[in-house]
Amino acid sequence: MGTNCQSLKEALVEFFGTAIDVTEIRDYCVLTLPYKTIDDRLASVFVQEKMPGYFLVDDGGKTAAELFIQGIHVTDVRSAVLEELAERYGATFAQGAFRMGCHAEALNAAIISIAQCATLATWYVLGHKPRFEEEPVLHRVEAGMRAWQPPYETEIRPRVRVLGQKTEHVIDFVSFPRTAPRTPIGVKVVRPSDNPLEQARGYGFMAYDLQNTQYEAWPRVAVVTRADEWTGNALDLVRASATTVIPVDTGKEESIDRLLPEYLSEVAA
Amino acid sequence: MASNNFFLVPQIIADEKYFDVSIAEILRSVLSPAGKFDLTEEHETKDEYGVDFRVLIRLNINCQSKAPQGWAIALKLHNERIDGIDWEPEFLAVDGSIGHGWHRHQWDQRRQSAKHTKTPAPDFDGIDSREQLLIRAFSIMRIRVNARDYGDQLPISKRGSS
Repeated sequence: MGTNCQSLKEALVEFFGTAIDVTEIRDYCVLTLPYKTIDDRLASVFVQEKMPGYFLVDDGGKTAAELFIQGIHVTDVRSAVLEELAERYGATFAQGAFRMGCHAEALNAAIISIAQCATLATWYVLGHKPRFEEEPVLHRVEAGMRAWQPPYETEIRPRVRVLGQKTEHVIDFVSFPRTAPRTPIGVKVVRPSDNPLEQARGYGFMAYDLQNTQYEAWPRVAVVTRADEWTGNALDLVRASATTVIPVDTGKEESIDRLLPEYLSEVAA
Repeated sequence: MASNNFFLVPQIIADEKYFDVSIAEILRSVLSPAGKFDLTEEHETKDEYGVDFRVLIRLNINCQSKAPQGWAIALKLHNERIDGIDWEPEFLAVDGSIGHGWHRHQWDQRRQSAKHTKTPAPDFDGIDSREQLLIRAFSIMRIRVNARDYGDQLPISKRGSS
């Protein structure tokens, strides 16, 4: 007995008809399609009629938000891949959302395209694993600073806030001279996080932002953790922005207590 | 030595967690074009025998979307979500029912994941500002932030451009 192709189609159409859900929120509709993302959600597509007969279709930024929240950070490389994926479906990936503008006759195709982008983009979760390498180090930095014995009396203060030209910055520990006319020394832990270059830029921005303020003269010590994971140019940027850098490889965090007093003495000399 | 501290998650969830940032600073961050906030803090906790531990916890917030349904918050340990608030049009709740909308991700010690254990969070229904989301989420996730916004010390003209 041959397959009844027509009834197959009718059954599928009926399935889609019941499985597609729509919610009206403010001035847009949220369509939930029976497409499972790889992280086991149903794809949702946001549709807004921007002007009569012209629609904006997007994923509401859900895909990028879900990736970020689940520990998959959209780096420049990943962003380029998502842009290419969007392009294959006639959409764009910009400001964290898959998006398409279309007229009424192309609306259904646009909805399906955005749903496909939202589904496929979650393939990154397949490679996601917890990261156990990162160790707390602030207590080691504090111990190292207290172990330092300069030829003058000091006071170690944690979390010192300094105001730059544009924003505030937090220095993890600052060694203030109590009596001698010396400049305070700031020590900041710089973790690579998901994107060492971005962290380096953040550190570099702090150095730049503190220019022409009273904090510019403070020597800066950067304790760079998981140094083995940093790219050369990212580490170079930190080096260019700090007075001295203490690179600490993964698993070598206990060396901070010993290294820091040596580096502080060099900086204070 | 690097170690798996997931056994501490129930205690971390129960603890009050402090992040040294103000709500205003978080808002400035999520209202920027990137729409994200990312901060790692060291947190001191104890295991069930009262032994002290230090862990790195990370607060991630994504409010890039104009629609509140695109916003999400996660507390992470080892770059894995251990607690969080999120919106989905439809989800399977922990009691087997089908839920809709805002929900909280709760830690499943056996799976070492908070991905699948979802409980409805009706408190978030109707939120329409990022500030509302943050205040409600921090309250139920026991996250405390700095009440003082140091950014307000900057001159007005400079604050606007940051």
